[in-house]
Amino acid sequence: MSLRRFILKRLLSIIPILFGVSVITFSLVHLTPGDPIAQMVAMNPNVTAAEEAQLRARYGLDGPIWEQYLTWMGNVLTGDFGEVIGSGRDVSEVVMTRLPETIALGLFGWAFGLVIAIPTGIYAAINKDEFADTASRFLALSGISIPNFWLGLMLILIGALWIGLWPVLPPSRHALYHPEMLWYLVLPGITIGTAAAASIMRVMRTSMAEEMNKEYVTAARAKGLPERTVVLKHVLRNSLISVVTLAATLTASIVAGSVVVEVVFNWPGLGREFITAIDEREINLIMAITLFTGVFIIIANLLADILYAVLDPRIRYD
Amino acid sequence: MVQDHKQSSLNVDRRQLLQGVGGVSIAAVAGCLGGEDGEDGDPTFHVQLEVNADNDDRVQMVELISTSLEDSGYFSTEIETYEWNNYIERVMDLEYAESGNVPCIGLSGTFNPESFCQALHHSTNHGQCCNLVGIDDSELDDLLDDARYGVEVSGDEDLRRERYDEVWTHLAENRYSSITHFDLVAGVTNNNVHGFNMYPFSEGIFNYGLHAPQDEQVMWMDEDADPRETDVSDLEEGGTLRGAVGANVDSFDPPYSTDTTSTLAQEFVFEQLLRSDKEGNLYPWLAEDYELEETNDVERLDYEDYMTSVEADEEGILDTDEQIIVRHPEDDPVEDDEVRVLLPDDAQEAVDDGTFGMRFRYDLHEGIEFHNGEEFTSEHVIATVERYYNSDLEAQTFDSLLHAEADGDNTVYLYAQIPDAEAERELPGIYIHSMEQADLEGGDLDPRGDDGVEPIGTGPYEFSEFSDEEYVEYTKNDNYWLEELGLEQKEWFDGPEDFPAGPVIDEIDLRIVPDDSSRSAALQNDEIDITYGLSTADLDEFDDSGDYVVKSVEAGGYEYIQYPVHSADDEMPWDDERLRQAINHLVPREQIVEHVLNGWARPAWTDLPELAEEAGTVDADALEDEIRPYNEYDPEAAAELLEEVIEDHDLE
Amino acid sequence: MALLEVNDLTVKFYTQEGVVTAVDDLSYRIERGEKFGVVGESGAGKSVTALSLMRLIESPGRIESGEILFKGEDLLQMSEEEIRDVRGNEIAMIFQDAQTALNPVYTVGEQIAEAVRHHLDYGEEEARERTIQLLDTVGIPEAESRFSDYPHEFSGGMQQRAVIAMALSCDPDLLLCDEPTTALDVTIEAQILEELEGLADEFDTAIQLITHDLGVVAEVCDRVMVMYAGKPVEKAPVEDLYYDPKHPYTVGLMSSIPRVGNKRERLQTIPGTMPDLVELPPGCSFHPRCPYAEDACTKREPPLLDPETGTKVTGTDTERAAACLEYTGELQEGLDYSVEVRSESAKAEAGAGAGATAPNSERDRK
Repeated sequence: MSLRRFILKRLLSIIPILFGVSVITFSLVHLTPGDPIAQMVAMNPNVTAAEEAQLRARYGLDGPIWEQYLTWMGNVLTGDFGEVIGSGRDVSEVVMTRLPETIALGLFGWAFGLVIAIPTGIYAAINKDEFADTASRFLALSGISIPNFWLGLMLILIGALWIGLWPVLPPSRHALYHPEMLWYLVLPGITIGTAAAASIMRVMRTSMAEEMNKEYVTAARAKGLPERTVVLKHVLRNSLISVVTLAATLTASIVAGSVVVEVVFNWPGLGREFITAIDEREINLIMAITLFTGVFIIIANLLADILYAVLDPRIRYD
Repeated sequence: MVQDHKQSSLNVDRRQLLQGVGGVSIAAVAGCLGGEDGEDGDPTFHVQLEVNADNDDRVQMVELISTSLEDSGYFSTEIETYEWNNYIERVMDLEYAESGNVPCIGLSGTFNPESFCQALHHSTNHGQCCNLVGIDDSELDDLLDDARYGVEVSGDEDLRRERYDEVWTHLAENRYSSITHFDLVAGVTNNNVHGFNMYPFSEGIFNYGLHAPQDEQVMWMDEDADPRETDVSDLEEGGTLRGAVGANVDSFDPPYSTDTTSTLAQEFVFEQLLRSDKEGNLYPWLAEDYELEETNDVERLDYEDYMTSVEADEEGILDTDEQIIVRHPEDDPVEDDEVRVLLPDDAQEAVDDGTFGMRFRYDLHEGIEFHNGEEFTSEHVIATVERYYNSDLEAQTFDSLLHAEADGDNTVYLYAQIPDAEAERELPGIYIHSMEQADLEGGDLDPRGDDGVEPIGTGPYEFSEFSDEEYVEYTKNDNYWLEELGLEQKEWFDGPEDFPAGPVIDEIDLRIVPDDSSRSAALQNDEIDITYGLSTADLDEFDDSGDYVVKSVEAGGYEYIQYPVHSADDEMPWDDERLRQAINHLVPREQIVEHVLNGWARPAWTDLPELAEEAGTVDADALEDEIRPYNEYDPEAAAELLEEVIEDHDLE
Repeated sequence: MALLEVNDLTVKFYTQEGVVTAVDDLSYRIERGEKFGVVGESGAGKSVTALSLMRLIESPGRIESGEILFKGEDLLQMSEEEIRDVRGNEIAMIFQDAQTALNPVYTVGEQIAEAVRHHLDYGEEEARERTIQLLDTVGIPEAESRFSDYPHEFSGGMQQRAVIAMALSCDPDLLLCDEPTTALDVTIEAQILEELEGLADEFDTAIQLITHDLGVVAEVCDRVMVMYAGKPVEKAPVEDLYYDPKHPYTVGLMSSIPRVGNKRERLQTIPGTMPDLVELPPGCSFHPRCPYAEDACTKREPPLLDPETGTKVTGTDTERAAACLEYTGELQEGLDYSVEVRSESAKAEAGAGAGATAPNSERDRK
């Protein structure tokens, strides 16, 4: 099968996945008590049951759940994700303004993870069982076990309050695409990327060490190639294959991590929006964010699959 | 109205609100601490306390109460915790009254004393907010009604105070609920901010703090002086105030927003006919003067003749696009196919016939200009009322407002449905719109997006920029009407002659920072000058430092537990007030304030907090002298009462 | 001057189980253009010897002592950079399993061309041309189009040819062939060996052929060294070894050669396994498996001896040597085996023509 057909097939498989995700999310949200209307009227002795019903009808929250789902689905298929009941805003507009912020943060964290993890992993693998390796193992374990909200708070404490290199709050009138933003992404990026860096580092080290024992490495050395070429050309590419798998799965945890990190760093992204949405049982918003996140993660996995093919010519798409 | 955490309470002058806490986590905490070693062997009474798990303070408070009950030797206790939304659904259910459990919940009251008694105890509030245990005391219902409604009380503030004193006494004797404490709200500034004072409601922190001549309140920026050593005579004009608020500004559309932060953000731009000081006294603001002109002994039933019949479907949804001002008290939209309702035109007819509860006359200032240059007239008031039709705030607006009527350009009459002591505060509680925006669809007054609509009002600041979830900025309105008119035009103002007629700070930059500790850190890092809603630990730290100013004031937030009078049985005679009084004596109010809230609250010695004292009692000190003995922590008194209960009910 | 002279080479591995002496005091020499066989079972230290020549012994292994003179220069004294110039350039290696020796993620062509570029300073295009030519030389059809194929697109035989091409890419003076044909089936094995020989002759390249298969040695080599447990046990010109093996281990190996012409019989193997190199048995390392072992064998370790004179052999010059107490006269019973030549034109036949049988093996066969 050609790569193009493979991609097409994978893209098509998004549809049933998203359908499943939407059904599950929709049911979960509806199984939890409370909706925005309940929140709006619950505590207000002036709103009668009839008025509540009227409000519910206005926002399409009446009727059995399957009917609500079908209505919602029908609207989504026409590109209408509904509105945020509390503020009356267009859900797609909210998601679209928040999404780039989270993507920037996630990409930075991801890049940070790779930039830290790959060289360290290589170094640890080359110096297997030596001090550097032990130290990197210790760091990786710490990186995996440190909760990211704590790390975030510590980084703010150190980076902003002690050293004063960064502000606590991101600049208020920032252009997300301005190069200066890279600087402000540093602390949240590190926070979000640390756990990823730690696990990538370990996988990098393990797979690198494993590859180093293979005969093609000896063969490459026997050709008289400098060690640099042997490691960075021959071993690296082979070890990256397992890192790509991990990096793709880490996309999901980076997205999940963004929820906490965005709150700690006051980053106006989708994660922070998601918390508010859940708090206020904003069904449309929850659904839309879940779907977008789903698409995002599926695409990340798809990219990983494509990257496999680039890295490893043995991979066949069938 | 349920609120997101910390930011509770909606329109200050209007409703009581539940202090909810959003979030997750479902946990069950067993509250058994010691207990079994009472002198009399096994405890006689068993109490199950219930609380939402996501409010740590509230859970701790319930744990303290539970410990205290067990330490008495008479009680074994159990604590159940629930996730907030589950909890609300549970306790608001009519059936909950039969469960025999003791719920704990928090509310946010207002200047209206009613918000500290009526919501908790009136029988009509069973099944909604917040008579959770089905208290049904017709004597109390009457006392509560008479303290607010009726021709006599609506025109006589002193009578109203006397009637509330009766309510407090009745409540103390019957002790259906135990209010534990009243919250303090605190704002923190750095030393660049001068003259800052806190309003009892956090949404007023800026509007009130920046300029409130009714309390001679004004704020200014000065980096070169210590705010502890300056007063109004040192005032400097200009500068930028950088603040941080704790939630997104969801909306700039007053009738279509309900949260604290939105109100906070709107009050820079929009103003009302009246303004309140920090004690709840009202002052004519956009109105030059106002007066209660007429009170009639009218009930809602009296509007019957003017009503229109509309169809109602099975779910009780009425077939009309118009605002329903009054629904016939005897009709039920769910049961009946047709319902009689009073629509705006009907209301006008009734008013024309002289059928109304009260009539207030408002004389408007001439020469007030909106930010877009429109001149403020009576038609703006009428158009604003109409924009509140069928809005998110319709229920709380048209529970008292009957009709608005213009008389010429500068006089407006607002009519109340029935004689109501709160009408003076409630009727004019609308944010005046410009004509340019009075016809906007609900929610369209939104500056976000490409074709965004920026809010236009008469306020001292003009909206300048807003980025959703990030920041909102305002600039000083150079043509602010009060500055043009002069403060001397306000008869009630008796402050110094050179007191500014408007706020003196030029620019306001507010960052949206939901995380408390981030706001705290930003203040420490000199990224903002002012914020609020910080943790008590942070407040203590700022308070101890000479580099910051912490101002706190007792607010409307309070917590209470409620006794299940409805589910009395042989083992738990909840209907015996002595049992309830005894438990009340075991509620360690001082300990709760000290250990749970780190002192950032005040024990509720009476049911009436400072902010509602003005309207709620003849003499606050006398009231406290009278009621406090009922609410003191007193294990001996409790034991005595419990022994009596045990004897009378043959318990052991 | 010999092309390669290995003197007293000792290689040890420091494993967690203990110190393994993989190569113990090994000496031999290879002349220019000569084909030298190293024979022994796996674990005998053949591959370690080869890797030592390229200084590719990795931790936990270490070359303990000795010298490796290549064109008169001691490889062990060279800097890392100097030895890299030798690797792949003057000494090249053909690995046992071409499938694992080729990097799966680069094209075959690239893997050959990179050495050419590196050692011969060829440009991209020149290197490509030379590579295609090499591929063609080793018998890969349509070499030009196969250049950009990946290893997995090659058959086993083709992969091996590619590895050979890779080794030949810089015209090395010495080719280390580590079991170059074990992974292949017999027909291809024969083809490849033939080609290897031809190419070596063509380029005047010396070959050190490592194998456990005496048949292969017989076909290709001029001289042979038999190794057991890290030590040389017999050295001889190939004909002498076959017609007159001097060490019981050599005899054992020979009896396990499959004979072409016969129906494939079950291979006769030497009973027992190689001893644990951490704890070598006392005396002669081979004695636990040796059918002629006597008391003396368990006590004294025999050095390499001249089988004629019984004198101890040192250095690299001796053509014929064997490490067995037989030649010091210490054995009571002596070695009791016979060599039976079944075909005079032994070397002409593919596979092995000569066979030796040990008496006990003979017994087994009946």
